[in-house]
Amino acid sequence: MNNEKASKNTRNIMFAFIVIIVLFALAAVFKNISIEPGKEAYLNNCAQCHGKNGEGLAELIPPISNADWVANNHEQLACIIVNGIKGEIVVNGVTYNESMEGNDYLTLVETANIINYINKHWYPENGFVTPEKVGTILNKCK
Amino acid sequence: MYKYSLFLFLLTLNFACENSFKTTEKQFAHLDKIPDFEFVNQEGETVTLANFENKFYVADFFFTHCPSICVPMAQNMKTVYETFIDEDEVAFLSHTIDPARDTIGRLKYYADKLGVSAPKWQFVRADKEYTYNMAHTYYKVAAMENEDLPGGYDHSGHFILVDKNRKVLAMYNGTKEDETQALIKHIKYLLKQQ
Repeated sequence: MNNEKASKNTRNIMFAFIVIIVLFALAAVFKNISIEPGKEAYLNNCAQCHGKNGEGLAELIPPISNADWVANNHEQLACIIVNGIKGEIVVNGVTYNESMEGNDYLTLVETANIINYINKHWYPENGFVTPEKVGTILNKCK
Repeated sequence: MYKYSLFLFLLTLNFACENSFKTTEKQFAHLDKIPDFEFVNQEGETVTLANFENKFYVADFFFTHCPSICVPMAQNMKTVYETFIDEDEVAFLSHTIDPARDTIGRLKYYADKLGVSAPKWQFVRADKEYTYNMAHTYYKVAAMENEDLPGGYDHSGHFILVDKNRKVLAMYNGTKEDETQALIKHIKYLLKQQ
């Protein structure tokens, strides 16, 4: 009788352990899912010059956030991110003329992640781009 | 009671700030004075230590085509510049370590586009070797204590605070916002102290 009770107790404890482990595993999975894939790529490749909030730098480096140029030319974002840009560009009425090096080491997925990060935060109306779409755009860059 | 604890809190904060500053001051106290120098600024004018007589100044080393740390540095330095825009006893001195590309015209363009101007903020150039030697002089102690500074200490992204006796008082990581705020606090403290 006592033995039976003891083994039931052990089973209960084991069960509780398993539940806890499963919960931890689930928490870890959800935590990973909730991390924005484009955030790190944006911070590592863009934020250094364009700022964490896409604000740019005075009249030297154009903003990415709240920028009429981006809103009007969002299909060209991929080209600029990967190939860079040279010469004058007018953003929100200000003429910028610093050259930007291309980031040609970025994969299609990374580029799409960066664009989706930008769109999600500052241009939600632009929606979501897939890596395939980025590939198509890149083939047509001037 | 509430008022009293707020007062205590502010007192501690104030004390902590002054205390940490005194520690940094001591740390660099044995450094030699900054020797006289001669650079040319964005207006084509000669800049020497005489331009900083009776001024605290903040120095850094940068180049205008720098794709990485110079942007946050410029942003942060501009914050300090704007804080002390009406304070005649505070000046700024940015040395380019890329004089080949950073001509006087390019420095002028950069300053204009950044929205800052001489004599408050001087962007200066000289021979590369001369500028590097100057950087060594400023960074001597910091470099010895932080050999693992990324990118070498000539271009470490530090702001160097120099007092009216040409002595380096403290250094701040110019790419970090919290250290920039510390620099602002320390300058305010110095101005109040005299």
